[in-house]
Amino acid sequence: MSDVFTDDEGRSRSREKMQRLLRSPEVAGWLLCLPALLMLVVFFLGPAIVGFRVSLYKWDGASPSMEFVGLGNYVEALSSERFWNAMKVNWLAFVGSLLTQMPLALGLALGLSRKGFGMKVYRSAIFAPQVMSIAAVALLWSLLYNPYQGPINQLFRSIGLDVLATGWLGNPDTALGSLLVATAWFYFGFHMVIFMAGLAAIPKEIFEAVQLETNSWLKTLVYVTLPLLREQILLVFVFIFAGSFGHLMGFFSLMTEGGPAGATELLGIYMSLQAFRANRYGYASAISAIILLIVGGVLAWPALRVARDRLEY
Amino acid sequence: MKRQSVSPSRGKAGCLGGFLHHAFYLVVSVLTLGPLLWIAMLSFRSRREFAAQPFGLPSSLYLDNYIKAITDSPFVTFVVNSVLVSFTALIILLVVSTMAGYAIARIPFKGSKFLFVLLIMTDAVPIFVILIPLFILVQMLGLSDSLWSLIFSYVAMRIGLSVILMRGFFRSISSELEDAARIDGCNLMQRLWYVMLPIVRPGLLVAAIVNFIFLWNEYFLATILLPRQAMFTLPPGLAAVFMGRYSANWPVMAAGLTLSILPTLLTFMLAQDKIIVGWTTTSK
Repeated sequence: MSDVFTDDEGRSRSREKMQRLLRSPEVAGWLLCLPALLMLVVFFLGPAIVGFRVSLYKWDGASPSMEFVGLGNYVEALSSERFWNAMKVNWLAFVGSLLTQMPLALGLALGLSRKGFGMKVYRSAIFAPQVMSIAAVALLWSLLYNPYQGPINQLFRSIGLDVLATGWLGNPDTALGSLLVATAWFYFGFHMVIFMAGLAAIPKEIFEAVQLETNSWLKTLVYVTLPLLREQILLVFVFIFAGSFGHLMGFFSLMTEGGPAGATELLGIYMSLQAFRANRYGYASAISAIILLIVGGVLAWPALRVARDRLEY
Repeated sequence: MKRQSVSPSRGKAGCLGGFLHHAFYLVVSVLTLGPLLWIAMLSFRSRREFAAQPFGLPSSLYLDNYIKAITDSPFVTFVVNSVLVSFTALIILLVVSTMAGYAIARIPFKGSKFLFVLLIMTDAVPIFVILIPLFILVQMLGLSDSLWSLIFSYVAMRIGLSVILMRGFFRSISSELEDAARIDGCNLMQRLWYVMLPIVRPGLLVAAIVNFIFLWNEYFLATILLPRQAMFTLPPGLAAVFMGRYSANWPVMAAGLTLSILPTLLTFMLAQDKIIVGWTTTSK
């Protein structure tokens, strides 16, 4: 077909060769995936491997000399009190997020999945915060929580509950809880939509059949709906877990920088302070390797499961 | 009768139940939207109005806060940077993920499953665990003083999700059209470009919208990879300049905040269903 357009005999022959090569599925497949793979290797997998190597050295990030310390950075981290505090805060943040966001998202999804007046409006309203950046959310909530002019405290004062008007983010007892409220406000709409998609995929006939057996909505929920939502529950768990050890730190560091007195210092905040403030890149890399180990260890099973399910359908 | 009984609430109790349901949804909706409405109102009120009464509607269409936010800060620079970064990364992402998504969905080659699992796994890894090496790499490649550092990192961050999304869309097309084109002598590139792309265009739009919202909003990498304020995109700009400079002038802060949300909010309002499709197919 191509020789019609080219006069040059040799060129058309090499073009034909190209065509034949492209017809081989192996060559075509890998060639098309090459750009994606290249990006991933250079800007993701490569750095991950380099990071592991750096964690074995003592290094300030700038000087050419790196002192090999083996697992010294890991030992130092595991014997540091501040590291364990950050670990505790991180798990608290995860459990707090899970306990607030999962039931709220699931409950609302169950309710809003029915057809009815206003359901779409509620869904949009609840989902809306998702279009904001973490920076905008942090800015908004630091205004809301402001002890003097902040609307939350103004509201408490105006209804005579002055005792409740506290410095929400400045008080070690309330800081983590306050941040988790803001986090839930931002994220639970997203999880709700995941559950709604899962519910929409369940055939109506199943519920009709269940109706013949039982009238109890609780039984239906526990024995039918929840098992059918297993995939979505797993997924929301993955998102909340990866989020608590991941992007939550950007949000927390904007609002409290880990303070007061380490009350909201997540592992990620501790790591980035060690790297970008204290210039201890080796030590910080060791911390991030430990975080990766935790996240990978906990999520390997659900992630593989989700991957397998997706490959099958 | 039986068909209606899917919903458990009926009769008098159902009426009350329905009312309670709606009351609950309404309260939750007000709680989620309230802070946003408060900020929007605040941005149209003068400082004096706000000092007298923190809540309330603006008394007139007062635009001084917006003028101040735009002219008295590097706001425009941030917007330009954000546009440059988001759209360049978006174009690269769409091209690269269309190619890979098509290959994984339609070409039976050895390693396609491996590639797919690899993409899913990288999608689940939190980006900041590679933050330090990424920071070093960018310096080594001499990209530290350029927006390309951010663009490439974003592409790497989003490639997994985008390929998964595009693969799903390509899989949902029946293979008859493509077979017909092959019999007519179209080669791979022609099939992809002239036959598949026009059909998969709605899917491409979903991928574009979902990625745009992410790219426009990303704060964390931007604040670490961009060395100077003149290079900041909107999120770090907002955090660095507005949180500091206008900490005593809330209405101006509110105006900057409102402006920064506007592009993604408009996208959301115009393409809400597409966004939800996009976010839920990737999670399925």
